[in-house]
Amino acid sequence: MVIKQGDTLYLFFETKSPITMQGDIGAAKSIDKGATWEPLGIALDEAWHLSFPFVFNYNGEVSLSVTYNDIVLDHAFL
Amino acid sequence: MMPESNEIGQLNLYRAVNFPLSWKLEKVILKKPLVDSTIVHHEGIYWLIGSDHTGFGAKKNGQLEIWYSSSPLGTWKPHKKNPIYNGKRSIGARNGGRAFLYDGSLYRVGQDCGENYGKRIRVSKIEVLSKEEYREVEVPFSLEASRKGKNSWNGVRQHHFDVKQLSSGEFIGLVDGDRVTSGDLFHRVILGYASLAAAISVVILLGFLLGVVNCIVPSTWCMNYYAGKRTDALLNLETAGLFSEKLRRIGSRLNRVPPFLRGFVKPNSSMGKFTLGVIVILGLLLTCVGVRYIYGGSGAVEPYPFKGHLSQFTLATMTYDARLWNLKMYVKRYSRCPSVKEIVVIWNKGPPPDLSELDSAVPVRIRVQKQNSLNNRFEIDPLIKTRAVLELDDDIMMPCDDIEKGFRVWREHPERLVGFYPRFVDQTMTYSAEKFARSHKGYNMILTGAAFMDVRFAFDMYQSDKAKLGRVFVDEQFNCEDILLNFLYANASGSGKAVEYVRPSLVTIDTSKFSGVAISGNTNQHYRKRSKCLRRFSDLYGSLVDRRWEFGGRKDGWDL
Repeated sequence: MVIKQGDTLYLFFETKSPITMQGDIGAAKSIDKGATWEPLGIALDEAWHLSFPFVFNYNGEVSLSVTYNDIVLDHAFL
Repeated sequence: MMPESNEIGQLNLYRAVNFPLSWKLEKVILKKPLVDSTIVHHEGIYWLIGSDHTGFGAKKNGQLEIWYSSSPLGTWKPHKKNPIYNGKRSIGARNGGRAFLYDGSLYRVGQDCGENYGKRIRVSKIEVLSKEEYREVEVPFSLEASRKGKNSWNGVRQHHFDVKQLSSGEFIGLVDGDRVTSGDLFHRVILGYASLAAAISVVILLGFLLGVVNCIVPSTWCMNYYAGKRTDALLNLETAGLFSEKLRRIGSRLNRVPPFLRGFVKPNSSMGKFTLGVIVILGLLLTCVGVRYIYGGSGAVEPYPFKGHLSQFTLATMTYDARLWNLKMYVKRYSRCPSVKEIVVIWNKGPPPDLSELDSAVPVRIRVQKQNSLNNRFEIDPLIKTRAVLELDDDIMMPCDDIEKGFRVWREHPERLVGFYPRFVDQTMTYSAEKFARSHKGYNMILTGAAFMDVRFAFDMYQSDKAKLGRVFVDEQFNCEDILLNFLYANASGSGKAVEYVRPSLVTIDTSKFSGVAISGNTNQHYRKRSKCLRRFSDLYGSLVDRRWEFGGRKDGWDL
């Protein structure tokens, strides 16, 4: 999902290895309304599968919630 | 962090320590393996919407539940109507992105998992959201889908849609896509290994039949075992004896299998030889299938990025009514190549076909010409929106991958004419086939029967006043429009390289050789005419003789 800070867009997405079948949360940045994206790297990597990041601002802090569940193995790339 | 957490499944909340790449676990907000959950703030309450597939009787991809709280940190309480859904997978129960506010109404994004996990997106308008009630109704939602199947990044599945309003008021939407169905890699590997296992069995069977492999279990194995146990207690001796006796019998029965099979097939008879041949072919076939499944990828043709970006081009072909059969095949085939944006059919003669007769994955436009002229091929057309045009004759059948390679090479040098058919012209000014260019290890022309060009640069040049005498000659000869464009390119490039070759793969077929409706049908006459053109255009626009570009200049070997 995408969030906005000023005019900069940040994209958080599931990035999954088709070999290990484990997803991590990747981040990318765009300063031209999404026309081009700069990959920033992995934002969150746990020992289990992560997907469906949900990022929001609460009390001035940015928070991230993710789906993770070992049973969900069939997530496609976001 | 709770160590057992990943086993029971739960919903974690992380806080940004250093946005956007450093996060710290803040709280386990729900001790439930809620998947694809989204939070929406509505009328002072936080609503958590997601699916729990682990509950008793929960329908996978068909379940949805809601929790609410006064703060995103909890405590979360279950909605009275939970589960909101627990049924069909096609209704879009499972979330497919965050819920969003538009025009005062809340909308929920769901994924339709009817045919396959994450097949398409559905959007519902939330009409009632309270602690006791929930009601949503699906609204029309159209996401332009590609018809190119696995050759398109989103040709098979789309399962996430995220929308955000910018400060300008515009909306930005992000969607994902997949060119294969869910679990495709897993299926390919299983099928691949199964085929290889079958191939190995076939090889062993073949070994039996030819007598190369014999299954011999020596009965002494069992005897030794028996002998070694001789000093054991009586009971032990008896059971061991029984066991070894059984083993010996099985062994001797196995030993009888190869001669039996050999007797059955009779490898020396003609029927036996035929059977052996069939088995060999079957083994080879299974090996090929297995290797293809394991190493062949999804079978999709993917575009080649240049500087990290992909692009698209317009495909143009010139034809007339006698070649409608060719055109149908052409459109069906090439419209599915990844980078083709649109097809323009330059219709030179006869009644044009109805668009419904053509099976295309991209828009097709038929441009009916007033005159049957070869110059129409390079007519200025403001409706062409891409910078690149691939002129490709309707009688050439080449794989999409060749075309994608050509497009990549052209993007490196958009000022060049990049194509698949090289020619070499020397001082004799005799038009010759590709063999001649090969024997001179170089080329100075690229035929436009299959070539990429910058549509504005090429067409403007071709239709300029300077090229008028050339165009008149093309109409007189009813030939050589491609040669004329090559002379114009060379003339405009100074000493630089004006043309570039990309090698087509071996499976490229030129169907004009069979159909007999091409202008190049009579080779001798055709070549004489084209030699005449070479002399005429050399006089008008300067000679090509001093130019020669060698094959194999590229590191990737695409021009060998």
